[in-house]
Amino acid sequence: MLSLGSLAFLNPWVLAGLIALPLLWWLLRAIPPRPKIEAFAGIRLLLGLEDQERQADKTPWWLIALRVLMIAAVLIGFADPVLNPSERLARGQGPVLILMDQGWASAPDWEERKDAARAAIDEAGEADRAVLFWALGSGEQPVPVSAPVARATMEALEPAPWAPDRQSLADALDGLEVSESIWIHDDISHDQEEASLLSKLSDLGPLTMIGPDAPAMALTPPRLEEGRMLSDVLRLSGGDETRVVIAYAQEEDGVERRVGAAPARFANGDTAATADFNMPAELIARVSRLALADGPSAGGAVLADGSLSRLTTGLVAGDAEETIATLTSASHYLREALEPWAILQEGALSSMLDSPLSVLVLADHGAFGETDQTVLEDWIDKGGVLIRFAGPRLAAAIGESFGATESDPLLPVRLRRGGRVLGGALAWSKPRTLGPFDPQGPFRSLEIPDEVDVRTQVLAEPSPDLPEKVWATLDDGTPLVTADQRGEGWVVLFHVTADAEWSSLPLSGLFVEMLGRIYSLAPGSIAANPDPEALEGTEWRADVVLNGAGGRVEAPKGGETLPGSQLAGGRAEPGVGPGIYLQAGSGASDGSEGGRLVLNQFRTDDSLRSLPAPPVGTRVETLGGAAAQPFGAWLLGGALLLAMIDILATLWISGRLLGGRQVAAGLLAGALLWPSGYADAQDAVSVTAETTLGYVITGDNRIDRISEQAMRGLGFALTSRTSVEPGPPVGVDPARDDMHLYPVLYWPLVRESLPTRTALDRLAEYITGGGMLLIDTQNGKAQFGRASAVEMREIARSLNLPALAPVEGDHVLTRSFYLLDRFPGRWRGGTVWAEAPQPDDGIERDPSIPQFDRVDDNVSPVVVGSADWAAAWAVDEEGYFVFPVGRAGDRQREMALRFGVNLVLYALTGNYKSDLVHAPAVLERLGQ
Amino acid sequence: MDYRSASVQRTKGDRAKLLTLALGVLLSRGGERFGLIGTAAERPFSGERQLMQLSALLNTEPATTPDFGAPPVVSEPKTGRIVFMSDFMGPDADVMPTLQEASGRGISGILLQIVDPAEEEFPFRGRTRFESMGREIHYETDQAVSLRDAYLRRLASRRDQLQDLARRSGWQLLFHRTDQSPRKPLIALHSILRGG
Repeated sequence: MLSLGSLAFLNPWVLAGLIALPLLWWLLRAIPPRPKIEAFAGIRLLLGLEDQERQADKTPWWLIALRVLMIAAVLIGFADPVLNPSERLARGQGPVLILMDQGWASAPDWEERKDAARAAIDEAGEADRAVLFWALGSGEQPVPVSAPVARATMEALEPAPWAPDRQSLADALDGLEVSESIWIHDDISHDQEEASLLSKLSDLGPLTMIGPDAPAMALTPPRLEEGRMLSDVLRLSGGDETRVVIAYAQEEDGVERRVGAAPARFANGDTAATADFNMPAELIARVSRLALADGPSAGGAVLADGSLSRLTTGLVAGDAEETIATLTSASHYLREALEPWAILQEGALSSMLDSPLSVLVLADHGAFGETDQTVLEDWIDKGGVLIRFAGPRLAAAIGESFGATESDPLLPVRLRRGGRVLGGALAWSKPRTLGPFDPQGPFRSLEIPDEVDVRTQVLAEPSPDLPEKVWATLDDGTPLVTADQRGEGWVVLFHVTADAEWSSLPLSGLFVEMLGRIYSLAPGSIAANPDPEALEGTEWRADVVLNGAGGRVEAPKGGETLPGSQLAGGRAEPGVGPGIYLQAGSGASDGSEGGRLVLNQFRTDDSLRSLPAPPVGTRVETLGGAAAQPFGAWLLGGALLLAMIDILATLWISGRLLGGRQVAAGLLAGALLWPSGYADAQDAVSVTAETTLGYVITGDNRIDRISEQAMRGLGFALTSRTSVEPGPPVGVDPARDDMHLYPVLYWPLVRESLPTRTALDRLAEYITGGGMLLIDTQNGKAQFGRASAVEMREIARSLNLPALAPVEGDHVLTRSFYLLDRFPGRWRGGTVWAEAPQPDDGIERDPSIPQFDRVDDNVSPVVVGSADWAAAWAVDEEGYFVFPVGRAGDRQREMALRFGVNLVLYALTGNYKSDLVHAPAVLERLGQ
Repeated sequence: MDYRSASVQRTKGDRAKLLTLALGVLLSRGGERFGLIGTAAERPFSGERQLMQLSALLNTEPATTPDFGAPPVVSEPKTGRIVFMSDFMGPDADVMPTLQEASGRGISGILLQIVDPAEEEFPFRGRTRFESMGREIHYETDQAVSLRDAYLRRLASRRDQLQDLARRSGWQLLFHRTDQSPRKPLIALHSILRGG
């Protein structure tokens, strides 16, 4: 191995070939490029001329340089160059301790860490030294093994979703027999006395620290502020940068979907930046996980805890006991309105109070029993939110248990006896609408719909502190929603019912939004952050956990349980990953009534600290930067590329390379030729923009070209004579293209190119769908000719054609624009067939009356003939007719064009002319 | 005359044949007698039959492809007028005497020089080996561009020579490039022949 700084060659002897390069240079200079041969008629004029510049015939110097470079690249490439040949280990003999942080912060660059570990193990293996490979995450103490075993252990590792376990290393370090150590670390202090660990490691022998270039970042759990969701991104240090945090929500099908993203902008030197999610409240309520967009890890992701997921809500509606829940009942309105915000539990009040609730909604509840009263007051004091609605029962209970002067502790304000009725049958006043919301209150900036009106309400007793408690008023200022904070919780009263009896508020979307705002006040599920004492003796089971890469994983059902004391730290720790834990064994198996605990790696207001500086004498390396990189293959690839360039350059020098103009012309020709054959999806727009005549592509180029020219010729005739102004004709491949865009399709049915089965089926579909086919056998025979009779019959059957009859004197085709009695094309005298008219039903007819009513109302789906109209209609690019038609002047061509005009108008207007043209005659006869 | 460069559709020979036939049609309609010098149809006749014969003769492939075509000798020079269509690229020794002889006998006529655009512009570059149409002579250059000026000078002097010859004998000299429409020389030929 030849080593030059950070570059080494495994086969240096190949480099000897480089000596030959000057020789190559000289040789290449000597040989001129091969001449290009031109046949040239003007050669006589050239004879005797002298070349002006003899020198220019030599291969230009840059081409030679290119070739020399190419050869040099090949030679160096085969010499197996290696950049950064790894030489990490000192020349010792004892076992090597290779440490690898296996925590969440290792996840973003896990592969690079494995590369570094692999390189270190391999190097130890090459030096025949035992390896003590210790992944800091499992907590198991390893024994010295050979390099392949260590490597197998290493390859199977995955990053753990918790902090690396450095503590167990520090504990075991004193007994270790190692001569030197390498630590692939994550650069983050995990509060495990790393300083002493480092000094102990360096005491053992030479220490190499391999750290990441960019340490992992972390994310704090989301919190709600003013209806917005905030989450902090933590980092060690750095300059200006922006990280994106993505919010995921779990859909009903169990799949997580991205619902939002917010940037967190770090200024230079900041260690934390806030991602501010501006999302609708109902989306925020559904957020199940936040994660950093890049560099995902279990620390860079958080599961949304109780403050965001829907709150457990008890709903006690007065009618809940009624067996038939109607769609107008209060419980129905509340259920619908609370659905985005709450996990609802319904039942009687007494059963509600046993389970941990965040919010309790009482629809028209009268007086409370004494026990209930105390329990509720306690619960509110701890942070419960009680939402009450007025109603007849509440109105009846006003002042019942408390005197007129004492206020009900479960109502935010004192109420007056007797409510107020507006807009009743005997009242003068009109129903009231909503007044503006308190600009400081929770309902601020909600849009007030006009249609909400209030007919009946309970009234608050005026008091000095009343205005502070009012969140919403009517337009005359009487309170509609009042609230009062009691301890950490709230009591909220809607002065109307939760059904549509007293007001139309529950019918409006505003109702849902108002409830959502109230929910954002709730301090979160009270069960989310239990006291350590409360956890003593409880058993918990993981429901959802984060994996090392920050992904959300459903924990297996019936997994082993954890004692509550392990969860008391309130954050993930080795062995207990971030996740949502449900209390096990507290009676309810589904966990809905037991406790629910969310653990994340970080908590709000945490920060990251970096690893203490290693002792003097430690080798410090950056992850990924120093890996050995063989790059011979790149050089060889480069040589191949140079060879390509050489070919092009040689061609260019000798003038054989196609000029840009030719290439452009070729591309243009290709572009022009391509769409002419097929009507693709792009064409559909232009095709439908104006009437477009189509023709069926037979595959025979000559016939197709004539068809195209014919449709163009017919288009010119139509444009100049009628109000039909077709666009450029389009060829249609019946097996492939959508044909329903064309009112008429010209189909040259020649024996040489009969359509495929699919094409026939699709053509049949086309004519069933209202299209019209002009079938032209182009052979000028009066009949279809014996030769193709069999095929014709077969085709007619496949197309599902109706019975055909010759087009006779009174057919609409003879008068849809011009009055015609013959339909010549290039040939004359053929019969033209169209759908047979409805059979006579035995009615006597006056033969002198045109029999237009016999003709079916529909346009005939096919017109069949053999006159080769295409040849008569065809015009070339310059507008000249392509084929000679008829012997005497242009009369026959004119008649052919008239037939074409009639046909297109027939296809477009149907039997319109059948009625109109002969209206005078009809009227005349009616008058007789 | 079989030469065409990459940028044009037809060879000079094709263009000459087309012009000949078109001129024949025009002359036939005008009731003129006409023939094709140096072929079986040399004796001038009028009418459709002569036209058919003319077109048949133009359609026959020549047995050999000589390097340069020399103008055929006018055998029956009595009256009438002669149209020579050629690129006039042959050696002077072959081309000039016939022309001089014809003009010397007092027959008036038109010289139509048909050239390919490549012959007028000399768009060649780099190391090139030029060969004549019959592959008999060749000329190799290392830097074709450098020949361009000299070539163009020679072409111009050849033109001057023809012009000179025409002027001295009272002939008309027309030029035509194959990348242009044949309508122009045809109209010119027709109007010269009609006018006078």
